[in-house]
This record gives sequence, structure tokens and C-alpha cells, in this order.
Amino acid sequence: MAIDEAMLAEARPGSPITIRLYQWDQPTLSLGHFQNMEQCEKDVRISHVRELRAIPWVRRKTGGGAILHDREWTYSFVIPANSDEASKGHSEALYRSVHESIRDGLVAMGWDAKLAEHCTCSPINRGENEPFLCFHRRSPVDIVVGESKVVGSAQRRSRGLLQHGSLLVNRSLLFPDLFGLEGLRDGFCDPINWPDWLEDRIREGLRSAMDGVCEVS
Amino acid sequence: MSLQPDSLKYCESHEWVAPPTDGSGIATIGISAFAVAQLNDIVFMALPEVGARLTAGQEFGEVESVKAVSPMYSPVSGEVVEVHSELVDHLDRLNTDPYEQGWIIKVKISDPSEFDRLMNYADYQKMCAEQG
Repeated sequence: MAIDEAMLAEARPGSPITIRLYQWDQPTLSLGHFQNMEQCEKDVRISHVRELRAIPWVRRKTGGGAILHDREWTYSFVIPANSDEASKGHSEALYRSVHESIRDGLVAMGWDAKLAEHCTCSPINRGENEPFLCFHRRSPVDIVVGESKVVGSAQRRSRGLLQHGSLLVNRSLLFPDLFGLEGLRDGFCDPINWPDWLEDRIREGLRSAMDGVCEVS
Repeated sequence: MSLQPDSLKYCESHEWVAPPTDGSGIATIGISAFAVAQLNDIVFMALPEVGARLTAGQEFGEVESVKAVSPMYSPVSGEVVEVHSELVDHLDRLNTDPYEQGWIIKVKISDPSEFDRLMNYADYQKMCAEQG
């Protein structure tokens, strides 16, 4: 994630959009920018607090809730400074466009995937009652299969834009409360090259959001 | 204090600044109603310490809304002399009154000529209409 932050800091007007797909050497929690581990203990929805606290953690530059990076794929993309879409007014459309593209790909493969279209966040409670974990939260463009969230994303909008996201592939043995995609479909699941597939869906979503005009490296 | 949007100066990143009118050299800074509307539900805000030195264009704080963290940039250079720390617990004031109850920091300015480089209300409105 430090590489993602460096890419955001170094992105210059006119440079291409950069997409990264990665997994983690060991199960790791990444906390949203304004989160701390004490919030984990206060969250009554979490049944395995001790197990979560024992996992190494980092804090992201992007917002949102904590993600357990285990049996999932993390993606990031950086849109350089001065792109219209990176300015404050337009970046929400990127969430939707990229997530719609991922949803469409999941539907084509047989998952009953949709956008959540409702939100657990509120400025009244300042996020204090928000679930600690990203995958317990709902925002309107999160991707769900049935009641289970399978893709969530968050952003940092500065003079460029960084979007992080996570595709939950399978249930973590460390925190089995969350289902992954492969546990949510009946019958045999063909092996899928998730990073290539996800990169392709992100490219498609970005092209759609940016009116077809984008150079992606 | 009575701040009207058309008496303020604006930067492209949607912060406003009220130039001092009383000879104190202290300018008030906030974020515009357009920015608040575009950011949607603001759930967290991080602010600088009193005494922090800022240069124009430098980040002075951060807000989080709909899972997105956005920096706030100082329109002017100077020293932070007051921070509206109470606002952090009453972020709804940004929605109801971004130009008075929603002020964010006060800065003792070091270069009054910086105001000349900022947009007036009419130009800022025009820019927002183009972005909107």
C-alpha cells in the first residue's frame, strides 16, 4: 500500500492511470485512515476480536472500514492530478462505474451479484456506530451476493485520486464470519484467474466512467 | 462575525477564505457549500494544531466522506491561530452553515497579496457550474 501512496504522490498531469492487483504475504488488517484498533473491541458484531487483534495491521491512506487481507485480492488504481474525474465533484462516479463493471462480470459467471443500494453511514453518529470491518458495512455501490458483501472500495482524493478495493474470494480461516465469492455459489466453481479478470473489469469500468478516454498502464 | 459567500475568496480545491477586515491580519478559512454538497456525508475531520505554519496550497487537514479521504488545502500562507475543534463533533454544521458555524481555522496571514490570486465569488460560481 506504500507503493499505492507513492504512485498517488508522484502522479503528474498527463501520466497514465495505473492499476495494481496484489495479495499479502501474511494475513493482515488494513484500517481505514481514521480508524484505530480500539474500535475493533467496541464492535459487538465481531465475534473473533482476539483473533483479529493478533493479526498485523497497517493504516491505509484511503477511508472506510478495516479489511482483513486473507484469501482476497486487493486492487488499487491512481488517476493523475488534473484529471476532471479525480476532482472532488466526480470521483463518486468512479466507485459506481468500476463496481458495476465487476458486478456485470460476476453475473456473467453465474453469481447473483448486485449493488447494495443502501448505506450504513451517517454524519449524525460520525461513523462511531459504523461497523469496524468494511465487509460488515454497506454503502450504495458495494457489491453483494445475497446478504454477503463481496467487493468494497475506498478512496483518497487529493490532486489525483487513489482508489483501493478488495474482492473477497474465499472465507478466511482466521475470521470465518465473512463468506467469500467461492463459498457463495452452488455447485462446481471453475478456477478463475482473479487478478487478470479483476484488472479487465477495472479497465472496463474506468473506460466507461471516463468516456472511453483513458490511457491505462 | 457575519460572512456572506460573495464577500469571500475561493480556491480551485473549494476552500474559502475571509480576508481580514479589522486590521488584525487574521483570515478565516472553511470549505464551500459546493464542496460540502459534493462530498456528501462528512463523517470525520482532522485539523491542525494552533501554531502550525502553512504555505498557500499546503494541506492543513482532512475530511472523510463516503469512504473517501480528501485533504483540505490552505488558500493563504501564515500561522494557525485558532482551530474550530468543536466542529469535529458537530459536522452537521458544515451542511447547515458552511460559512459561519462551519468555519474551520483562523490564520494570521503573512502575505496579503495572496488574496489577489484567489477567485472571487462570481468566478468560483462559474467554475462550480462547469464541474457540477
